[in-house]
Order: sequence, then C-alpha cells, then structure tokens
Amino acid sequence: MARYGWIIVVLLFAWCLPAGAQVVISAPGKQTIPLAVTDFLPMDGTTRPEVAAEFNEVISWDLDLSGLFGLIPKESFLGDASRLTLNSAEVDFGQWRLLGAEALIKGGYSVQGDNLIIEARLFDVVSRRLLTGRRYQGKVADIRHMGHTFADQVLKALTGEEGPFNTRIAYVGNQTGHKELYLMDVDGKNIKRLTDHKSIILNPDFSPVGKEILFTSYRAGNPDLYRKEIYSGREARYSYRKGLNIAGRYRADGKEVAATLSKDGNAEIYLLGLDSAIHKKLTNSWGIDVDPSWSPRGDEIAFVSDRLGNPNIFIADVLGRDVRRLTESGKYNATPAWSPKGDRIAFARLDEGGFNIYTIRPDGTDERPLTFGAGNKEHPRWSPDGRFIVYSSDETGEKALYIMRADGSGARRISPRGGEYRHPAWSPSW
Amino acid sequence: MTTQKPIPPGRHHAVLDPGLGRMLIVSLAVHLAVVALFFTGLIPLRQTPPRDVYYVDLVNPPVKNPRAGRPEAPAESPKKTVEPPKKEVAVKPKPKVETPPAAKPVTKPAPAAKVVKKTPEKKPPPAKPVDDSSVQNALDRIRLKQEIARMSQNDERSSGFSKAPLGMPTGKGTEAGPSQEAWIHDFLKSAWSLSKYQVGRLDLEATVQLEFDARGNLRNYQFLKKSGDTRFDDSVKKAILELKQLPSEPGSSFDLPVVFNLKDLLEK
Repeated sequence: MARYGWIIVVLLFAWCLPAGAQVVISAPGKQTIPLAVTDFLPMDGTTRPEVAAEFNEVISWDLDLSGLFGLIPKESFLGDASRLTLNSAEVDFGQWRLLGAEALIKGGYSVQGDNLIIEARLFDVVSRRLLTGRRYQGKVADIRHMGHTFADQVLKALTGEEGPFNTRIAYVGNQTGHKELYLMDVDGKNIKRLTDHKSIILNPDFSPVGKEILFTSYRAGNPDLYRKEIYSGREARYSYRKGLNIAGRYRADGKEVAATLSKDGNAEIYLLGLDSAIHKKLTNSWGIDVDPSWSPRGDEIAFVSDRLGNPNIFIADVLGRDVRRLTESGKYNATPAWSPKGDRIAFARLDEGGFNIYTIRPDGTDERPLTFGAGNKEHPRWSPDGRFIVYSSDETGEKALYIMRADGSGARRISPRGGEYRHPAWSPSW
Repeated sequence: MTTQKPIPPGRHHAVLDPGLGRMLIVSLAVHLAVVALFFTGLIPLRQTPPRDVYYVDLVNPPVKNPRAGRPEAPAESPKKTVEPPKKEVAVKPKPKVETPPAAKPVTKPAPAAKVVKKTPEKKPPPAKPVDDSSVQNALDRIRLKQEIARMSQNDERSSGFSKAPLGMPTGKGTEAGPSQEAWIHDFLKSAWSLSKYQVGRLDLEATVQLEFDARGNLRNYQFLKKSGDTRFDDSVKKAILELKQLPSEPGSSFDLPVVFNLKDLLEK
C-alpha cells in the first residue's frame, strides 16, 4: 500500500510542476487576403485601355475600402497577367503564388460601338479554382456600374454576404447656391441633382422598397416632408402640417414613416402611413423629440430628446410606448442611426473639440468612438450591409462626405472639392 | 393578571415591539460612529493600486534572462517638452511668413545675400491677403499648435510612460531586452497572415514545435497537432518559414511549442 502511496505522490508532484514555456498566438497579425487585380484584356481586336483602366480602378477602390484585401502592386505581376485566361485550367497559379497572391481577379472586355461586354473572374489561387464569374453586357457608360456590381460579387463569394458598392448615396449640396438634393455613387462619382427647390433641403432617407426618397424642404416656406420617385422625378408634398415636418425615416418594410411633427406646439415623434395619415403619436414629453431611426425589426425607434436635460439618445418601444435612455455621457448626442443588423447604433456626440461619431449597442453597453481629431463629424448613416458608415465632416475646413468601415478604420473622403456636402443617406441595393 | 381583548375576526391589532425603539437608537449610534471614524481617518481607506504599465523593449535583440519591470525610470522627459513652445514664439508676429522664409535660405546658399536684400521689399505684400478668413485661419493655426503642445504635455504627465517600469512583466534576470518567447511571439504574429474568410471555422488550433540550435537557427519544426484545415496549417507553416534565425544567439539549443489559434477573432 505504501508503494502505491509513493506513486500517487510522485504523480501529483509531476502534475503540479510548471509546464514548459509555450507561446500562444491567438490571432494572425495580417488578416487581409492578398489579392491581385489584373488589367482586363481585349477579347476581340478592339483595344480600349481606358475602359479596362476604369473597371480596374472601380473594383480596386471598392475592394480596398472593404479592408478585407491587401492589393498586390501591379508592377510585380509576371507573364500570366498579360494572358487572357478566363478558366482555372489556363491560369498559371504558380506565378501568382510566387507573388504571395491568394485571390486573383482576371477578365476581358469587348467593345462594339457603344456596347460593352465584360467577362470578370475571381480565382482562389491556393485551391486553384474559380470562385465566381460574371458576364456583364451594357453600354460603355455603364462601366462603373459593372465594376461596383462585380466588387459586390467578390465580397459575396468570399464572405457569403453581398457588398454595398452598387448602391447610391443621397446628400444635400449647395453647388447651385441653394441646398438641393443630390445622388452619387458610393465612390463619389456620377453625381446627379434630384431637386430644384431653390430653397433648403434636409435629411433625406431612402425607401427600403422601390427607388423613392423622403426629405424635408422649405420650398413652401415651412419645413415640410416630400416624397420623390427617383427615376420618374415625380414628387409629392407628403406631410405639411403646421410647424415642423422633419426627419422622416421609413420603417424597414417601407410601410410606415417615423417623423418629427410639431403641429401641437411641441416637437414629438409620430408614426405616419404612406398616405401621411397619423397612425400614432409615439412620444409625449415636454422635451424636444427628434431624429427617429427604426430598428431593423421595426419594433423600436431610437431618437434624440432633451427631456432629461442635455440632448441624449433614447429608445422607444413602438408598441408598448416604453422609453429608455441609451446614452449617458456627452454634452450633446444626436442623429442616431440603427445598423441594418440591429447590433449597434451610430450617433454623433459633441466632445471637447466638436462632434465625433460613436457607436453603441442597443442595450447601452460597449460604446466606442469611431472618429477623432478636429472638426465636426456628423450625420452617420449605415451601408445596407452594415459594413460601412457614411458621414459628413468639416475637418478640412469644408463640409464633405466621408466613408469609413464600421470599426472606424479606412476613412476616406468621397465627395469632390467645392461646395458643401451634408446629410448623407445610403440607398438599399440599387 | 391581564387579559387581552380578543381581536375580532377580520381586524388586525397593531402591536409595537418595545425593543424596536432601542434597536433603532443603537443602529443610529453605530452608523454615526462609522461615519465619524471614516471622516477622522482612523479607518485606513483601501486605495486601488494603479495598474502597472510595462514598457517592453522590442528593439533590442531577445535575451536569455530579461530583467523585470522596475518601478523607477530614468528622468528623460523634460527634454522633449522644450521644443514646441519655441515654434509658437516664431509664429506669433506674422502668421503666413512663419515657415517658408526659414526654409529658403538653407536650400539656396548662393543667392542668400539677394534674399536678404529683397526681404524689406517683400514686407508690403503680406498686407494684401488680410481678409477675415486668413486672419482667422492664422489664429486657428496658432490655437491648434498651442492645443497640440498642451495636449502633448498633458500626455506626458498623465500617461506615465516616463515612469513605466522597463523590462518584461515576467522577467527575472538582469539583461535589457525582451525574452526569446516574447520576441518569437511578436515575429510569428506579424508574419502570420490569414483572413477569417479563408477558413470555414474559427475554432481551429495548431501546435508546432520549433527547434532552435545554440546559434539561434531554426533547425527544425514539426506539427504536434494539426488544425485539420489545410489553409490554416499552410498559413502557419508560411509564417514559421519566415522565422529562419533569432536575432541573437541563445547560447544553447532549445525547443519551443507554439500554439496558433483564432481565439481573438472568435471573441469579436
């Protein structure tokens, strides 16, 4: 028995001995996919290098913004980059592995007069297989649109979730001397003016169904809500009650609108039908309640209220009328925007140096500042996939639009120079 | 003998415990005594110790016996704060002329005399752009510089970097520099490249045994445990192959198991 006792003691001693040194690495230092984007090559005799260059520029910009890729410089490309190989059997994957590429975009184009055909492919270099391929047919003028669409496909093939690049951003600009409503691509190109109110326009919001936009205009001398069909240009005054008719936001199913009205004297949030009939008065307090933003499920609304002193973000239960406070700190919290996935709410907070963009969970935890430094960063709005945030900033002295990733990284200016760009709104898939 | 009146059914009789008053008085006295002790300082207040800030030297090559973080640090900070105020003084009188004149004479040595002659002539032009915006911009720039200088001073005071203990948190030796394990960890982490979208699952883990000789060369490596995902294992292999040699000789050969996993990505 004593012998066994010794064995147990020895075993216990061995078990208690400190383990030898061990290194644990719990995440890779580089989390991007090395991607090579080759110049697209002519599929017939007609060479139009500017077409290929523009397509390349669009997808490179989009995929770089995504933050998921590390783009391999073109200068290092070897012979396979200049060969039109559109199926995996023909691609020399060995060359691309040599360069460290793990994903490869190749393609070709054909221009016949004004018509354009693009063949685009995404290959997995490691497994030597085709991940996605698309053939686009259209006009030469549609080249950017084709590029954004393929970038969305690339994201879908690699992450399972489509990208937001083939969408539009509406904003308020003063390039005509008046604050009018404009539309631009996600990369700031292809700008179109939508209104000619010669007045002040504020706070646009896209309908989640159909290409329609809701905005506030002072055209009739009062801040009224307007609805506008983007393609037909048809426009209707939607809510023109006495006092404020501002900050209209569509519910995720597009069947109801939350807006701030002050028809009874105080600014409160109301739910309106598409025919402008009031369905419900959502808030009722002595404070000013503005800037509603629907949760994606449509059961809650985040809004700004000064009912407890400083303007803070509150969340109202649409059915139960319960209201809870979301933000606790900051002198001024404004313009909440609920993410499409419902997991975070972006808002602008007045800090010491100006407004900055923050996000917070709907339960009030995990508040994170996304922007820093001088200038005011305001009016955050999410991309339809929740990966990016567009906002306005005057950090360079002029009001401009910027896009950043949802974690605050990769911020870049998208609006061109000249004039002011503010109140952005991101469209659903176009 | 006292007889209690029977309480009719459905009615309650309020009875006060005679000891309740005494209890309340005692409780009040105890509370007052605690408050008094608190304010007189007789009770030692528990202060939460400040969190240690370790300054790990990753520039020096790894050493065998890294020293531990030490509480006192060399006082080097005053030098840094001197420079910013000097620039402010130069900025004050002429907002626009501040930086360019200083640069020109240095880059063009030959026409230096001419530049000197021309300077009085050049004085009037700055009067031209005196509009509201330029003055405002200049003032803003001055304010910004003052703000930056103020913030940098505050940073140095508050961050405590100058007071941070030097050395490794786990160090027990006397040599300045990181431990070999810390250096290898940092090297492999930065060399390891993998996107979470390239693997099917995030609960993958691989363990690799690295074998170094006495001169610090990576003599061999072997997977003690593979993750089961070829892409994950390939990325690990690629990172290890970049680690050919340690920057300093360890003196004796040693083996080191390294675990690669995606726990940090799982938590996000």
